[in-house]
Amino acid sequence: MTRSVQYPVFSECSSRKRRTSRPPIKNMARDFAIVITLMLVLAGLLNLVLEGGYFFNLRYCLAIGLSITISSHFLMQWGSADNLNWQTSLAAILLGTAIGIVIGTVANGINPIVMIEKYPGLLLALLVVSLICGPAISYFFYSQAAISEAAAALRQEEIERISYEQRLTEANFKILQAQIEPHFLFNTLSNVLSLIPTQPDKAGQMLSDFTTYLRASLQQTRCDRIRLEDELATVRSFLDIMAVRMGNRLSFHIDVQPELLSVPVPPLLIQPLVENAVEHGIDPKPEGGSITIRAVLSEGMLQLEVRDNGIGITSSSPVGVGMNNIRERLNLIYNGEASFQVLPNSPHGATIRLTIPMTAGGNL
Amino acid sequence: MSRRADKRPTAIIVDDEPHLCVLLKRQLASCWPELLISAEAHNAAEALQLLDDLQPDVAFLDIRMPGMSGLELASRIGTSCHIVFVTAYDQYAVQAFENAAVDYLLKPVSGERLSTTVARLQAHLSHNPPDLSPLIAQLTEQIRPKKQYLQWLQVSQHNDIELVPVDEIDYFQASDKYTLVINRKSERVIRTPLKELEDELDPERFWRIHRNAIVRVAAIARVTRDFGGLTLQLHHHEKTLSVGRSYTHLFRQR
Repeated sequence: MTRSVQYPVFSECSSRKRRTSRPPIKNMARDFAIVITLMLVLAGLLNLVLEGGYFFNLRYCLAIGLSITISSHFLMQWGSADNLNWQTSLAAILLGTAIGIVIGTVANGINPIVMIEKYPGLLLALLVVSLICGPAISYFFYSQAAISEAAAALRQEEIERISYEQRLTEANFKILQAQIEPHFLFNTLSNVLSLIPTQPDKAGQMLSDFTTYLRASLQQTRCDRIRLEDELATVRSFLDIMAVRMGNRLSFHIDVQPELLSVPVPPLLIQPLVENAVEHGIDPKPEGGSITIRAVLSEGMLQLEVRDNGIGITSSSPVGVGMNNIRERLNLIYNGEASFQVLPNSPHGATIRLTIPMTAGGNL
Repeated sequence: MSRRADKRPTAIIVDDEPHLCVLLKRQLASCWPELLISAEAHNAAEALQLLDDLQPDVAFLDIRMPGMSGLELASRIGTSCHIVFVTAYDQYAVQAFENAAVDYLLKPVSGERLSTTVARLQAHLSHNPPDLSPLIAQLTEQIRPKKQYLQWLQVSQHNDIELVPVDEIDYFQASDKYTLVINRKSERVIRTPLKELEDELDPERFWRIHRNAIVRVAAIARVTRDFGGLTLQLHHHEKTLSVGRSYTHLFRQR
């Protein structure tokens, strides 16, 4: 998994409602430009119904419009996580209108304190216009944000879908790559060569097991599901080979209820675990050990177990690539419904327990 | 110094796979009939004892063996006998042997290759064995694992003890005498204090971000800045974590 740490510059991005990914200053400049344009038009329209001239009205429009914009930005930035709700917008409009009227009044050379007595009509008109135009402009910005947010969500969804498919393909590809380990290949062939003159039957059996193993490794990675029985056949051929190679150091036992043999499972799920148990559990132990593979039905789930009495796992044992791969595939295929457990055995060794849904379901 | 020139040369074969000892013995018998295989060993400990007792002229050492590897065994042998490494596949080692003109065989061993090796050995047998220690030191340095970081956590739940790979953990949080171990599926408790975990975990993968928290770097979805400082949003978690003042340097853009 690659690390991705993002460093957003501003705190505005709440998880639920993000505006745009643009930094606030740039956002604000854009909003200002829109508001100024709208105000130039609005002042012209007001000039038709109100007295005082175009510039008199424009000063009021700009003062009120811009202070609503600023107070909206201010409340959204420092407000709660739900910063785009209607209460915040209304508060921003009221606050912005009040400040804007005061500033506009001063800008037009009128003492704001005497305004209420002298020009109550003007004040009323400004309030009415502000409370109609404010929400309209606010709604415009809101819907713009909503549109870009919806587009972003759609993009995000697409990215997630693609990355899911990519991860599954990668995980499947990795098992293919990891399959034929050169040490396994050459040592097995050497053993066959050794057996030919003295124990030709045993040599033949080993070669036949090796063929089963290779064929399974090559074919099964191309399927989404195989029968448990087929996976176990691969496992058995691997263990038969290893039992010959390791002499009397390895013994094994496969214990599966017959009715489970035809259950569909993802390929190469048990086999890498068995290889792991042999390589890291039993082989490092001079006297060797044994492996038991079990499959049972437990509370409607298929429980697969690979148990060994090898050297076990210490806190700094490396986590095998195979184990991580299986964990990743189970997560992707069963959407978190499958589980992967590693349990220490007493007195030594480890058990890997996979619990997967019985249905073919999940993602194919 | 001439080593027992009057006697037949002797050898010992060390391989953990019994059939491979048999095969090499048979192949040597046909291409070097005078050579006496005085013993076979299936692990390094056995081999050391036999080498000491029998003092052979040549040792054929498999590289990959449980416990002590063939390379380690060779460094213990030193210059007391001629060494031939045997391997199925060890790219780096083979390259190094090639460069240093060290004898080695690839499994399955071909008759032709074995003849070449035998001819060389016969020519060198009257000389002192070369000192391989610099080469082995260099090779073991390459394959030596780096500092052993904590990889598995032992957590108990009900009566079961489970081993969880640390990469499955999203964050650790101190809570009284215990430490909470949290991932998207579960929240479990261990007794190991945070300080101890911090020392044992790989600092590339895990960051201490607060007096009471360690986070897995790859679990971080986003870092946000607000009044109180930095806050971390994790993948698959609702809860956010705050970064302690003295740990904010970790998140400075580089």
